[in-house]
Amino acid sequence: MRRISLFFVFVLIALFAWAQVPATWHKVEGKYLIQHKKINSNKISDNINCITENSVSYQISSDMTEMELELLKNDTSVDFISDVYISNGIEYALTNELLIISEKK
Amino acid sequence: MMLTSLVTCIDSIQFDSLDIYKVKFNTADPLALCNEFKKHQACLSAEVNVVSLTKNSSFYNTTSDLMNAVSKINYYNYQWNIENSLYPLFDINVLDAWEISKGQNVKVAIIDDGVDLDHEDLQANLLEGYDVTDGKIGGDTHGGYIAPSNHGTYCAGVIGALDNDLGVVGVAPSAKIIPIRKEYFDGEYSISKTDWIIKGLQKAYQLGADVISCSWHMYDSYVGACDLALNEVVANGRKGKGSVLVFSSANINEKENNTNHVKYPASSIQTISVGSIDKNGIRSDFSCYGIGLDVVAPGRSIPTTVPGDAYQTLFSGTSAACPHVAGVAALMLSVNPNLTYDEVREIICRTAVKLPDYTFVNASSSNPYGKWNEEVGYGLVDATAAVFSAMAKKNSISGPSSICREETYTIDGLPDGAEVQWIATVPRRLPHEDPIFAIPLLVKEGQGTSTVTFEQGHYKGSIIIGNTKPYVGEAVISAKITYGSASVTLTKDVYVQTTEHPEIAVSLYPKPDIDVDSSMITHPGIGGGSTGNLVLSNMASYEFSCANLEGHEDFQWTFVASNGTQVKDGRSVIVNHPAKGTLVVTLRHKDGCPDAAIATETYTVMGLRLLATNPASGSAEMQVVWDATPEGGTGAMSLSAVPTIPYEGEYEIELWDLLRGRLMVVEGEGGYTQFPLGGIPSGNYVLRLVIDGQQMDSLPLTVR
Repeated sequence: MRRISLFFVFVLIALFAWAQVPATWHKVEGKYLIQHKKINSNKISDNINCITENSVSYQISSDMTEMELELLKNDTSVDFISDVYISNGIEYALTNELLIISEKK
Repeated sequence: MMLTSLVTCIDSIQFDSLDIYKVKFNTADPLALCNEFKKHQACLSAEVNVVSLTKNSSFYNTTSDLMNAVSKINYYNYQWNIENSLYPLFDINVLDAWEISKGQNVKVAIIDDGVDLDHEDLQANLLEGYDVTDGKIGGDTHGGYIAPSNHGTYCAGVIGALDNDLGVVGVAPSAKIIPIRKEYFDGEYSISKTDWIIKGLQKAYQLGADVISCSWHMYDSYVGACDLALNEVVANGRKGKGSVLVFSSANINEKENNTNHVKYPASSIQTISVGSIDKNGIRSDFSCYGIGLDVVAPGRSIPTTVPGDAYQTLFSGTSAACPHVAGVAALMLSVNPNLTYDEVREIICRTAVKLPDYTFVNASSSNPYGKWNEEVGYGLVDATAAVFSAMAKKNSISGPSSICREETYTIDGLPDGAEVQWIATVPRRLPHEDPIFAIPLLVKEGQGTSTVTFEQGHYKGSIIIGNTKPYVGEAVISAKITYGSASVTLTKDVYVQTTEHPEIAVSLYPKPDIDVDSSMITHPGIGGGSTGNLVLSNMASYEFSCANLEGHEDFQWTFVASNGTQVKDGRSVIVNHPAKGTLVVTLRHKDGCPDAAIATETYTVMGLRLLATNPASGSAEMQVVWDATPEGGTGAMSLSAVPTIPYEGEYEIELWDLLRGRLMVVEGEGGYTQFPLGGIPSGNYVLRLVIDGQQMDSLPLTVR
């Protein structure tokens, strides 16, 4: 009886996990998004100091080798390197940025 | 965890009710960081910003597509989307809509890869736009395109190419276009970011876009930050009426399995999702479909503008279909700017043409706007029908809500050439015996025009021919307005009043609202219904009722007194303490014409006389006199000492308690009689004078 219950719990968890991931993400091997640093000005917005990122530039590199990747990681002009995935026919990469949405007070 | 030590704010996007902060993080576990932010009450969402890379994602921008791109000719004959000479059913039916509007005073934002700001067939319609790609990537900051990007210019041509002799004509050639660039081309990929898309929506909103056209989709099936921004635009755009969000359903990517479903944001309930059909009315093989699809529009081989004062005839993809619907929305808002976003969406869906090669199933909770098909949604967008419905939302049938004999009704603001067919029907909800035989109103004159006069119709109580009678009751006036190939129906509920007096005897019987035995006492002040002296007391309450009216239930009483007018419904009604002076009581059928009253009576309301103060004692001297015409044999009774001719015969004076009946009888002779008052409790009484079998009541008297 206990085994049967555990089995159903497992099935439910699997179904829930499946429902939560409607889009299939596939990593594109050897492809990376390289974000170069170009932060260049400051501004104040709603009492929060924000550094305006006026000219971020991105570079997409395909078929990179491990050595090339290590070299890039040591490049001081490189801000961030991320894997490239594909989903819904679009290739995409996570950045080192978050979007925080809050209700206006 | 001190979140501020882990992040640095680098940008913020402000909406009316949302703040979106872009922060840079220095942690290896961004998802854990997101979860920490989400624990804060004010945080609605936290997610990693994503860069998307699109490569040949659509069916445009090939060399062969541009084969006509250099010659400056008029491509109208190639615009099957506007006028499909081969299969007229499968264009967007916009020609008649243009007779009403071409999109004046409406702004359409195109969030894409920029628009050629100098294009000869677009320039006059372009407003200053915006570049949200972190500024200056590639150059222009006003929404212009950066070569070789051209997708935005393609979309702009479909929506708003000028109506001139050059190139092509857009669906809404007088609408203004706000170009917003949310991506740039790096030579191999079109690069965009989630925050750019959100900022693009924010800029469109801030720049006053009525319609926002988006021929693209995102990497995931739901992006929380984007969804909140969409919600903001829908909720607060156009001063609270909602900006109209139109998205392409997306193109099927053959390289991926299971990608034929409608992509986000088109799949969001907050957007109008548009798929593509070919010129023969069949879903384009690349067009994503299924749950979330609203309508389809032409999306293969669409002539449009190309950067550099050029044109092409092969713009294909749901990217080409989406701007058609955005253009139709612009036409609709041009004729009726008060429409809400939900109304625009509903009209577009409800007026869509059901394509003959598809089977449409009945509406459901997920598809509430009529019959729907998985591949083509509610059908092919119909510009004229949609514009006409939008205009009809603004119009209404003006005229009285009740009809007595005949009335005139009008619809204002119809375009020249519109034809109106008027008809009146019985509401379906009414359980008429033979509703099929009921003709509540007949058109007297004006059929076919915007002004009509209806007269009272009739219905048959049974199916026996000739057994007709005038129709009285609820009716629905319908005006089917036809304009070109589009039609829309307006309705108005009215009430047809009776014009005839029922053939029944009616009397008014006001009486005190106490339970008296009417066989023992007549009602005070009223000597036998409407033939009495019609005198009431201001201290009593009276029940007015009508007799002999079985079968007639809905009555309305109007009481016009010195202190105002009361209207009461019912077969019998109570009036409390009528004001002194004149009381005019009118009884009519509730559904009767104002001049079809059943009965009218006028009463005099007098102050109640005080017989004695409680406890009563002593006696009152009663004087019985002849009235001014003693020959008539009618006695008159007075408590006052103003005798004229004393009565010398025998008589009785009875004291009637209105609750308990007769209390006391005093026999008298001659002009004066002492009437004992001792022991009379507080209450309302009437003195009755009885002479030779005749009787006359006093006004109501009281002991208090």
